[in-house]
Amino acid sequence: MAKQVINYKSLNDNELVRLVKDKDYPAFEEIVERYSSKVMRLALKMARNREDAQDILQDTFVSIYKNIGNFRGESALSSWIFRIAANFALMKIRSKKYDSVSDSLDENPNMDIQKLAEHSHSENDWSDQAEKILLRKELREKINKAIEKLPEEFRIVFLLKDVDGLSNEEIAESLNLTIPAVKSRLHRARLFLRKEISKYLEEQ
Amino acid sequence: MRCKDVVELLCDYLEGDLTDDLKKELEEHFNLCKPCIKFLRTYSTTSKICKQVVEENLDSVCVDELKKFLKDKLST
Repeated sequence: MAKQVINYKSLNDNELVRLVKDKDYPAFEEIVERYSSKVMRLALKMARNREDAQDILQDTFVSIYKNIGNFRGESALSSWIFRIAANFALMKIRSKKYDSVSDSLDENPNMDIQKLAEHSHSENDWSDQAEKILLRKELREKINKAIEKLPEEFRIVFLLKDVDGLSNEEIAESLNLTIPAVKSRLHRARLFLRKEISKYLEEQ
Repeated sequence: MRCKDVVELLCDYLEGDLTDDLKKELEEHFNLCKPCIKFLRTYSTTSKICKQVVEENLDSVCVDELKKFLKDKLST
């Protein structure tokens, strides 16, 4: 009997996972097609250089293939992939910092919650200008730089939650944090970014 | 409730994780305090703007090259 031709593009993620578990390699390649750009985006934002981001990307997909049997489908495939990528990204960053003593998160002067929380009557409300703001190339660059300025423990939580849409529980589990710790890092990352945007707009 | 306490609660407020009493107290504060309302709005808009900015940076990955690497690596 002729072998059935599978249109992998028409399959949903769960169907692809089932096939990969049965050692269907083209199904795995379809997962690579679907998620490689998004994993690269996370990797680049974390590593801040293309060479390390490329390593993170490759390690992530090798791990996905080898460990697909452990994926139980309790979360979305995308969440599982981002969690793996996040861990490889943190490992890569930490491997390069072995000779430096990093500040405790609570002592990091850029993330001091008192300073980040300051607000006054004179501060502008730019919340209704989001579309206009996004048209300004300079500000978009400023935002990208501000995200890269976040200490990595804050940056990864912010990217997983606010960009890739993972739940606090998923982030806590994958980064081995408590849920209050996830929320605290997310909150401080948002406060830092809010302040950077406000500062830029005030200077204009 | 002081303005400082309001900022501490914003993340939980937006996620719907506050108790009814605390939520009520916070909203009463918002009704009386313009700077805190501005802070809430800009805080919440920050996530949306940053998400859009990051998402537009979808770097093109050379998928064929990645697939070749993976095939070589995983077949050994």
